[in-house]
This record gives sequence, C-alpha cells and structure tokens, in this order.
Amino acid sequence: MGVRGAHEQSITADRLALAARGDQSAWRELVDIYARRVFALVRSKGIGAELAEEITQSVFATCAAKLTGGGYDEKGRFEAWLFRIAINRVRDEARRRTRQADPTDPVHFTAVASTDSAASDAPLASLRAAMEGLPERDQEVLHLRHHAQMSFKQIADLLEEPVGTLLARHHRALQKLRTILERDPAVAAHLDLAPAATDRGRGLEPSS
Amino acid sequence: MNHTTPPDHDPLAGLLDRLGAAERAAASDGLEDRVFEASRGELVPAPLGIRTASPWRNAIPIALAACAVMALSAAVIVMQRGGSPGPIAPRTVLVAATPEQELEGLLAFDELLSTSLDDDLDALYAQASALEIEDTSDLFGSMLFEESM
Repeated sequence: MGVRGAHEQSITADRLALAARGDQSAWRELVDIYARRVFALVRSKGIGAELAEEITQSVFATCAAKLTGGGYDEKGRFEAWLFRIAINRVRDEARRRTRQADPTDPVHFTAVASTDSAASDAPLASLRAAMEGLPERDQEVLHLRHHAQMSFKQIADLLEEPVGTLLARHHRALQKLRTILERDPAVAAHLDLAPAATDRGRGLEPSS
Repeated sequence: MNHTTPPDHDPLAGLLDRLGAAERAAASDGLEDRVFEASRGELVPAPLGIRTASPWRNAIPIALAACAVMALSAAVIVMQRGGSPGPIAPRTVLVAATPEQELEGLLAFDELLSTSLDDDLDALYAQASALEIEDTSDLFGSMLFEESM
C-alpha cells in the first residue's frame, strides 16, 4: 500500500482552504476522497453498514462545521483530525448502545462477521474473525493502516504515539495474526500464507 | 520517509489491504452523495471582516492629535507662568517701575484671581517683595480694594 505523497497532501490542503471559506465543490472533493475510508474504519469496529453510514455522515457534518467555524487547527494533519472524530463518534455510539442494551436491535454491534459483501468472501471472513482475536490496540493499528489507508505518520499523529512504536505494534500484530491463522492449516492454505521464516532475526526498524 | 511492511508479512499485509478495500466497497452506491448532502449545510463560512471607509476613521486620530497639541500648549503656558493654570481674568494694569515689573505685576494679579484668598495673599507678599515699588502697602491696599469690588 502506498503512502499518500506530498502531492496528494498539497491537494488536500488546497481543498481544505477552499472548503473553509464555504466552497462546496472543494468540500465535495474531500468527501469523495475520505468518505469511504471513514466508513471502512467505522465498519471495522463491528458496526453494521446502515449505522456506519449514519456515523460517517455525522462525522463529516461535524468536520464541516468545525472547518468553517474556526475549529480546525491541526496544522496540516487533517487525516488524523478527521479519523479522531470518527473514532470518538464510534466510542460515543458504543457507550450509548451499552446503556440501552437492546440485543434485538438489527444494527446492534456484532463481533461476528456480518452477511454483507465484505464477509461473503470466505478468506476475508476468516481474516476478519482472526483479527477479532487480537488485542484492541493491535486491531486499531491494523484498521487504521489497512481500512482507513493511513500512513504510519498519520496514525502516529492520531494516536499521539511515536512512529517507531506503531511500526513495532503493527509488526507484532501481523505476527500474532499469522499465528492465529496458521492454527488452522486449511485456512492458512486458503489464505496462501507461506510459513514464516524463523531462523533469522526480524528487526523492528522501519525498512525505509 | 516511506515505512513499508517487512517482506515476510507481505502476503498477510496484502490480505489486510484486500479486506480494507472490501470494507470500503461495502458501502452502498451513492455514499458520497448522501454524506455530502448531510454535511454541506454545515459549511457556513465565518462572516468576513469587511472594512468600509468610515468617516470617523481619520477624524479620530486628528482629534486626538489636536487634543495632544492643546494639552501641550496649555502645559507650556502653565510652565511659563510658573504655577497652576489660571483662567483668563480681567486684568488691572499696575503701575510698576519698568515694563518687566509691570508684566510681573500683571501676572501676579492674574494668579491672585484664580487662587484662594489666603494663597493669594502669600503669593502677593512674595511677589511684591520682588517688585521695585516704593509703597507696597498702598499697592496691597489697592489690590484688596479691587478684590472686594
């Protein structure tokens, strides 16, 4: 997965400047870039598609209000700001539903893969189930990296942790995930996971 | 700096990318349209600070400058008089020995009118001693007479 380059970031900065002045076409471009990424991040928390879309709409409405109201002051870290709002909104929704505790609600949070298209692919369904066996912090870095398509620098800004820490956590998360998946040889074969090399040390330093 | 996944985990990272792409695609068609419609109403720009030419824009600094000049002029006048400022008062010409003494007497009388009587008497005695007037008692008496008028 490629990291968003400086050129793309400058495009986002230009659109943000216009949107902050009420330019709706610029705002539409930002929505086109980020809406599905926010949706995917929200979905990764085990939320149904309908509720995930509601939350996504709410997140962008909040961002638009803050952007034009002078509430955005992240100095170029738009992605971290946007996804922080999304994560907080998901947490708020989780707390609200915990208080209501209605298990019959059709859009209730589920920890099991739903029947939507993402899980209809069996290997991906197995992968999702395996991810749910990871600690929450490991899941979070995987979701931000692979669902929200954030760079490690952006994730570091969002979680307010050093980039090196996140790289190490991501690496360990992948190792744990592989271990979980390899317990079932059929799944491992289906996912075409080659046996990991164990006779050489693995550095945790970034490859760049 | 481009942080990449170690090669050993490339297949697994690739699967995770596929899962992420599937999640992004799981949204129904028109997601962006609905999100845009739900958020565009919040995109209200802050009111611009439009500056128009105000008739008072230049008048206030000029007025302040004029006040400063007047205050400075008053201060200069007060300093020249050597005391507190006094109102413009009717002057009684005193007969003094020289023009300078006449002026001093004039200023002293002017100050007499603007201060209390006790202070005036003190000032008058002090200034009378500086004037080369032969009969200071007559001068004092004539001043008191004029003051009582």
